[in-house]
Amino acid sequence: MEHAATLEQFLAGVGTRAFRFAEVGLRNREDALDAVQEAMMKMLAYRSRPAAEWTPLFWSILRRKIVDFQRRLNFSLRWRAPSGDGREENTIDWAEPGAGPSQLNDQREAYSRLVDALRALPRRQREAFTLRVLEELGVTDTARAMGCSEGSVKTHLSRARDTLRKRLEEFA
Amino acid sequence: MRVLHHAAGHSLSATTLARLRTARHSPPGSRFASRLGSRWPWFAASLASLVLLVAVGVQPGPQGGTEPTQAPARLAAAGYVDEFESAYPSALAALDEDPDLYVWLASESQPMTLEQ
Repeated sequence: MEHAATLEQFLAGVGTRAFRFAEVGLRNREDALDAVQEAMMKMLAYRSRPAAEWTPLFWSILRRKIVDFQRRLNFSLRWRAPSGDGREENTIDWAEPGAGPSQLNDQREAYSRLVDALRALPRRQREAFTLRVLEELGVTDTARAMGCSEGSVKTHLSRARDTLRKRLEEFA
Repeated sequence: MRVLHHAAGHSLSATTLARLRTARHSPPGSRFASRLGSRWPWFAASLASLVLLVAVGVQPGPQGGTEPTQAPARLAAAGYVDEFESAYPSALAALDEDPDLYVWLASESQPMTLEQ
């Protein structure tokens, strides 16, 4: 795997996919952006580390940030009125539609189904599937990013695949 | 799935892309402003309440406010008595020794007597 020459290039390349990862976990655009921004800020402190370590390190930081945000959100939800406070949850951020709207719509619908299926997974299974399958990290890097053993990654991934297969077949 | 995931990463709104761009370069201080965003009315209201609470808490009570004006008056009165005592020592001594003076001062009929 080729590594980015600078940390800025690495963050520029991974930023949008990191946002999608955070958006699936946090179900809110602003929280997802904050989580990615905090992870990037923290990542800058590891500038001196070898480029080969950036990928598992960044995903590990972002994963922990998302967990922190989820805990904070769960805590604050206890103090909020049941009617909510206008938070736009479960939405997916999209660019304004340009040319080829029908094809774009199909793609967005398919991605929305994938997001729904991912959100229905337990957190560890979702992390394993996203990092190992969607982000194409190796088992070792996924284990480092998730802070667990390679065996655990394989177990989470196997369960996630089974659940996703069943769930997405229902849509097909 | 992978294709969908990567394509979705390239289909973000302009505002989100702009936020991600600034996130890579912004110092920690600027994060507060971006996070404040649309929540500034809540922040402003909270800040105003805090200022009001501090103002009410710091405001001096009625005794504290009158104390500075009373103190010079008391000092001036004490000075006047000292002056009078040095000028007429025997008169004051006589008044002090006369118990009828205090009976007269405590008498309730005195104002009525004066009015007549």
